[in-house]
Amino acid sequence: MKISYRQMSVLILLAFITLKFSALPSLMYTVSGNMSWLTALMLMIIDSIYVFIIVGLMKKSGEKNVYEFMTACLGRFLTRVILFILILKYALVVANVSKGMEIFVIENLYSEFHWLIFSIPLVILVAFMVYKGIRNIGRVGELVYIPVILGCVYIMIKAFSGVHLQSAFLPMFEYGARPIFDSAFKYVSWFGSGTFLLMLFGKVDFSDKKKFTIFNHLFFAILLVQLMYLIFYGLFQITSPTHAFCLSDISQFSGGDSSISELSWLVVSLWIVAQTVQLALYSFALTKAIKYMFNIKNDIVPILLVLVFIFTWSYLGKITVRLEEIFYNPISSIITISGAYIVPIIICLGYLVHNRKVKKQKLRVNGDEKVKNNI
Amino acid sequence: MKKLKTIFSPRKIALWLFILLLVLTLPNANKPAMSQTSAIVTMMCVDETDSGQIGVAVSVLSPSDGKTAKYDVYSGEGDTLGEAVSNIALAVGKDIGFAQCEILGIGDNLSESGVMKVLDFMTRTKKVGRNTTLINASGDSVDFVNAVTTLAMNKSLKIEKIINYDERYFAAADSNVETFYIGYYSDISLGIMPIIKLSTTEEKNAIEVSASSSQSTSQSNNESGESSEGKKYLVNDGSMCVFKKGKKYLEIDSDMVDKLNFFLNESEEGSIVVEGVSDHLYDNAKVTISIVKKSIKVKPIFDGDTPVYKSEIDLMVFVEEVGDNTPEVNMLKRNRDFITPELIKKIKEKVSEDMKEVETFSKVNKVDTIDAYMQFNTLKHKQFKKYLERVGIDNYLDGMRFETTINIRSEY
Repeated sequence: MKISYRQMSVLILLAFITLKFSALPSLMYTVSGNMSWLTALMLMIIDSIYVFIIVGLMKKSGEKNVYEFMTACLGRFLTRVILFILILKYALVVANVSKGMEIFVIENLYSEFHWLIFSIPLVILVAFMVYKGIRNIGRVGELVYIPVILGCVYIMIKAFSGVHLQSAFLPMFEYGARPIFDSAFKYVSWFGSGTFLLMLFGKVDFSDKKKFTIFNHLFFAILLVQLMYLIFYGLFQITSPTHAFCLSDISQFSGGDSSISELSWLVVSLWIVAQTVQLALYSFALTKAIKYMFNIKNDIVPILLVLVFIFTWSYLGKITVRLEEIFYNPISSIITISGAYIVPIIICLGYLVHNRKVKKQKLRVNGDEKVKNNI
Repeated sequence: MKKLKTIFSPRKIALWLFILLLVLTLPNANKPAMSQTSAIVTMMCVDETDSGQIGVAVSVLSPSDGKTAKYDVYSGEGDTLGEAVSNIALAVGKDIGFAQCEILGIGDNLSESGVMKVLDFMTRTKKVGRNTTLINASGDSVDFVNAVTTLAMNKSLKIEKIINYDERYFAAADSNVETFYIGYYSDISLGIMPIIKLSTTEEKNAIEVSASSSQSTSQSNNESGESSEGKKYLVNDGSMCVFKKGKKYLEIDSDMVDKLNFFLNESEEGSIVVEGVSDHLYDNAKVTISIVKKSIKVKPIFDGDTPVYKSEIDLMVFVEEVGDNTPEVNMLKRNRDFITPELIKKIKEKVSEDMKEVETFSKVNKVDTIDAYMQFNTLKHKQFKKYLERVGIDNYLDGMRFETTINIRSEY
């Protein structure tokens, strides 16, 4: 079952925005201050370039899945190494998204809420979505993305009157450009958003493509994130690090006379749905990576492994506080840089070298045939 | 193997997970309603008592028939704010939720000893919303909460509506926990709160709150016996309280707040009175001018080493009332015909005078309510940093020059 070109673009858009509207802006502020929007802009542009690289490779792969494509280009050993790195990267995203959702729903939305009541339905839902395949995830993405975007725009418009634009930008580069790069390295785990595309090799129907669809969606995603950050930093200024839930804090703060505005919460609920799509998407990618890595024939075992991972992650989060530190650890940054930025380059180089070899071989075969014919 | 496949088929797994979910969630269905276990605070007031304890009064929304809101007022005291809140929770007999609190009043004593610990406890520990309106509640905290609650119950008039009504006129009214934090954690550590007084005498801008109804909302643990005697008035005259480093620094009266508003973008409307206008239309007249729309553009620049706060203010005005020696007003004239060159001159003089007064007030009291620091720090950061190194952060207003251009336009 394949997804359409448009569905893929929608999934890219959702992957680009959902994780950015949770704790990220407040975390980045502690390192790069009001220059954090530049960090996000820089990494999102890099991510966009990688999206085009991966989509280019997808087109070249034809009907092959990523395992077949990589084995042909890089050999089995290197393919396994790459898959291992990708498993770590996907697991990191799955853990990050599920943790973010859990903290928001269990600790922020309700005063008393047992984690199992949230985790079990979430795990069942994700399992179902992954089992049904990428087409199901793509369709859900298509269903929710317009309301999610409209909701975000509504929250931004509502909050705009309280924004102090000067404070959102200025003073620029007070401590030079170093904090931007420090913050980029520390929080790179929240980026590398297009990496899931690697597991969609052979699963996208490129025949219905329209010009600039991916470009438009990427441009819109970057614009939306930048505007949201502008509003966040302009609204909360120096207190930004204390606002751990970007979208909900903006909507709550701009709620007017009442501390909670109903429509804003509807938007925030939609955003949770978008996060569920993101969780299912990366769980799908993780399932496929495990399947290829261990050469498992069916999907059920890898799905169960992923579910056990999400569940264990949630459980461990309840018994130890050290678990969350993994997101701020340099190791997770290295995993993300390797999985999201080095792996696609290796695959690309592998393909180019392989392609050259194939061409040379063809030329040699043609040359030999000509010699034979001449003789 | 086949048997295993049947046991672990997706449908079976989903069924078992569903049963597990039911087992886990069903016990919750037997729990009492949240309204039976939790109390929602809509307004609270904190102050320091004469004995040095922390006194808290809260207005709690109680379940009713749904047609009219019913509030109960509770109060408690303790060595710490947490203890005072716990004592209230004991009296109420429920968990107290502060997330819906719309007004947080800070009493006079606490304002002087420092408010940050209270705000920190209320926002971080008790989850009071950051958009909760902050007021300097002048008067006994229990009486104050009683008065505000009575107002909401009997006149359906919420105190935040009274404050918000003035938002266009008094920028100080736009004060909530978040803006206070932003001000406090800025380099100059400045915060503002509107002052709402509870008075026993009728004053300008006072709203009467009948004492008898105020008493009816009190609970047995409310020890405010005095509140039931005589009339009480809630006064919002637009005055505001300036906090430096979290402590009350000075009060700005409503006249000065009016003048201050010329500098602030947040206030868009207002009125001024000019006297002694004499020309072909007016004869030594006292003219009340309504400012229909006001906008100000601030451009911080440096003239050598001197920072210059350059501002251009546009006022769209309307002659509201003509008094004193003016002959009969010709009703056939258009609004703009009332704005004569002489009147424009007088308006400019008056605005300029008022702005000069604010400048002097700010310099004398070393209080930057016009956000000059922020303007220079963001737009002329490097030069301003050098300037600050030279004069010190407490004296930066002294050497600052103010240049203002005033443009008057008439409403059609």
